[in-house]
Amino acid sequence: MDAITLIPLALLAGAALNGLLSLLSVRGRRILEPLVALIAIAAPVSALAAALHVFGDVSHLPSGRIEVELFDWIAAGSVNIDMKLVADNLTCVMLLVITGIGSLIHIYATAYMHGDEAYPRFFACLNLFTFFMTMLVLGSSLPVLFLGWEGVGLCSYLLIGFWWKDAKNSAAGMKAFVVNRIGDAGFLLGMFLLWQTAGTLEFDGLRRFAEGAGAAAAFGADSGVFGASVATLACLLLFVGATGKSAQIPLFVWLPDAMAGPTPVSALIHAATMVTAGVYLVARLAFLFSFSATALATVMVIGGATCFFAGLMAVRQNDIKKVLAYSTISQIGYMMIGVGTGWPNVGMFHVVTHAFFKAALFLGAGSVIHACHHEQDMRHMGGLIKKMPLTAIAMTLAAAAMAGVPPLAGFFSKDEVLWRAFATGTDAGMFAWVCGMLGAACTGFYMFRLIFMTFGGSYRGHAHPHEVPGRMWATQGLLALGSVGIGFLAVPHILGGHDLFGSYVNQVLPLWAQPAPAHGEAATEWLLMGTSTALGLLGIAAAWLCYIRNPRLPDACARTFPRTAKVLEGKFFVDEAYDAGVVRPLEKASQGFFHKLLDRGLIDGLVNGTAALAQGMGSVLRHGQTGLVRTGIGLMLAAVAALLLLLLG
Amino acid sequence: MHDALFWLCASLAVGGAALAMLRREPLKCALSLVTSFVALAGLYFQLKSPFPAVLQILLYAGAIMVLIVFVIMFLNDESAAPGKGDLSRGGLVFAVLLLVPLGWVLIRAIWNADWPMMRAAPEDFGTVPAMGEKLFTTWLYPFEVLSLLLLAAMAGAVLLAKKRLD
Amino acid sequence: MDPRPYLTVAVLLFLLGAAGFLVRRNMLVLFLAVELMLNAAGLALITFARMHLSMDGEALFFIMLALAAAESAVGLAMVIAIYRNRHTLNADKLDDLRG
Repeated sequence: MDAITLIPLALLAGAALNGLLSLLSVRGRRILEPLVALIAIAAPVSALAAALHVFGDVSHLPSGRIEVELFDWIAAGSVNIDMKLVADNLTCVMLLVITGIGSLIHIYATAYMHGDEAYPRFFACLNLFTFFMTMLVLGSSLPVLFLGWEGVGLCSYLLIGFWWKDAKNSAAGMKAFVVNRIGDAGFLLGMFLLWQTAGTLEFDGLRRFAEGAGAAAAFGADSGVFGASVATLACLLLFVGATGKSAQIPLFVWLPDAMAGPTPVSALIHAATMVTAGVYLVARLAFLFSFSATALATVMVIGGATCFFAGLMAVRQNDIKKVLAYSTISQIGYMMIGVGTGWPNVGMFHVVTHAFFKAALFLGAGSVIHACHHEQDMRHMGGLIKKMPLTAIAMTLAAAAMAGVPPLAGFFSKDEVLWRAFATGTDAGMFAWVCGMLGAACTGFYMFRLIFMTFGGSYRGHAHPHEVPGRMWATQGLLALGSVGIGFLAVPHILGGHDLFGSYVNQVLPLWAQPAPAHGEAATEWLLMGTSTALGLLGIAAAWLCYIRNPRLPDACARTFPRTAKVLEGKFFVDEAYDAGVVRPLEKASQGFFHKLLDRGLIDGLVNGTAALAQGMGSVLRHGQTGLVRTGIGLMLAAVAALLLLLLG
Repeated sequence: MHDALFWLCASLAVGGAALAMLRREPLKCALSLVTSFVALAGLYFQLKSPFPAVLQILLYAGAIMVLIVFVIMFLNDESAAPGKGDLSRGGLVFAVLLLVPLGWVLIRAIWNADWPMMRAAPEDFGTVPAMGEKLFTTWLYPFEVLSLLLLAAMAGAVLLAKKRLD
Repeated sequence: MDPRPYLTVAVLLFLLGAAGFLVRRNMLVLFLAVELMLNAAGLALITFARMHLSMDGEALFFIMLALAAAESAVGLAMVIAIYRNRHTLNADKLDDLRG
């Protein structure tokens, strides 16, 4: 058994075992909890050990990759897709994040979910999710990746609607699934187009095709859709899938609703792993995107716009988890900008750093909610720094890292993204850069608004908050420390570092943009670095002003600019627009046309009609049964007569 | 002479049959049929088959028809007879539609067919010894089974027509 | 000699019997019609026997005659039984199997 196969297998086993146990504990036997917790933690930890092993192997092998073929998956005529796992540098990065941060979150969750009546089911789903996520990154071809993609979507649905007895949670799960599905349609279409163009969906094969002789012609050919080239269309279609999974404009509406799930779910799925799947996809297919400047520009523009607008939406949210949700959407915007610049390593690095500080923040939020007895409104919190000092420190560190305070992790990753965006020199890049800068200001503001409202001032709630148990503060603490230190993996050259992360990942990713700007432009780089940091600190200062120094300031601003406040609070009314423009018409169409006409009218009509036809025929033919002797004899004679007529006539 | 005899017997046979089917009272039908059967016996005589002819008169006209006449008179119940609605109109239409073409086809086939030359019959054709020879050699098995059949028929008739004593 | 007139008579007798069976309602007359048809067959048998100068046909005629006797005995017994039960000789009234 290779280490690489062990990774998904361990997680699948954990999910299966806990699944079986979930069937047992219908009567809520509490003795089961430690066993379930053990299995649930053992699975990702073993996967982590295997991932480290794989990481070691990949670094030492000359080919720089490990390939394992599991079995023939699809064999239908000319379509032959194998279930193959491949690990190269990019995969290892993702694997370590998934299993490492995943393990910490699993440990936290065993304490957070204590006492829940569906304890085993939760961990079965959580392990299953991690399994699918590993399959996603280990996939050697687009279909295998898609398998993981769909699987994480499924588990996301299961986990968001975990407390399904409340209909709102199920609705949120449904919303996530349906919106993702829309993205998946684009993904599928993109896959089909690639298959048609390149004849293969293996990443290897596609790469070879792209580097081959006819690639430019094939990819540059007119696809017939608004004159876009084949490459542009395929990339855009795949990117639609990415916007769904990674909650970018226009398919981000599911993520805030997804906060209905338990907080460890939000931490794992909606901060650290699943939502980064779209970024991974674009990075993995960077060689393809390099054929289409349009696609890359689109990625940057969407990333930038999302970054800024989500940041604005976070500013007026009062639910602590919703702030973090919009923050996630905004930060993924940065990642998208990063992979759209043509230097995908900067986007990937932000994935890593974001995983640390966002997970720390979500776990901290979970601790706060847990301590305040399931209170999630920040207006009823405050002064918690005295009651939960450890949590407070962890969250503040993570928030500072997110806001880009040097030398914490977010500073390094965000700055690289913005620098590369600026350095592309394209219009899209400039737009993304501006959005990113403004987003940095927003980030500082809303993040520290959260910190100050939650931990500063005096307690405004009704519960008796206390510090959380060991497992919980330890794991979030570790993550917070990670968000402090991990930045040093990618210290840019200008600051004297060697960008270890970048050079590691770039071994497998192609670079299409012009090489790194030479020292001659160092001044620009310093200037930009300084500006973005300053904006972040400005945001923090503004938050301090509004929420510590002069608490009446926010309301005063709201009164002065009532319409702006309304728009911000209403999250730009995107949900309402979708509801009116898409959901309602679909519902009407389903009811009126599909249900009444097609379902009841046509299909039921056909079925009932067949029955009616049989009945009708029966009642007609029935009259042939006269019961008289002469009828029978007459028919006999007629038959004989017919025969004779045939023979003699 | 031969022809005239044939025409006499033939017309009696067909005429008697037609009357048998058309008359209202069943007794009169039966008697017409008897006439027809006797005419048939005449036809058999002309076909150089004296033994079958005599059998026809003895058994058919003499035994079976007597039995039928007996039953007709036994069940002489006016109220039970169909009376006015005895002829079925639907049946008539169907019969005409079916049997007229059939008859035409058959008769045409008979008259157009290539029959083999008929030779003169030997003296002992159709006589009792000739028939006996056939019956007790080629047709022995059916002959014996026939006796069983007659026994069964006797028993069955008695059983069916018996008045229930309960 | 020519078999054709005899065979024509046989056909006519058979058709008359069939027509009678299809038309009449009185059970006893129906019975007569059946006997008529049997006789038509008998005439045909004798004619062919004469034609081929083989006594097989006449032996068959003998067997058929005996069969007709047996059948008429049983049939008439049934008519009597039906009459006892239903007090009718109208075959159309016996339509219990009507769909």
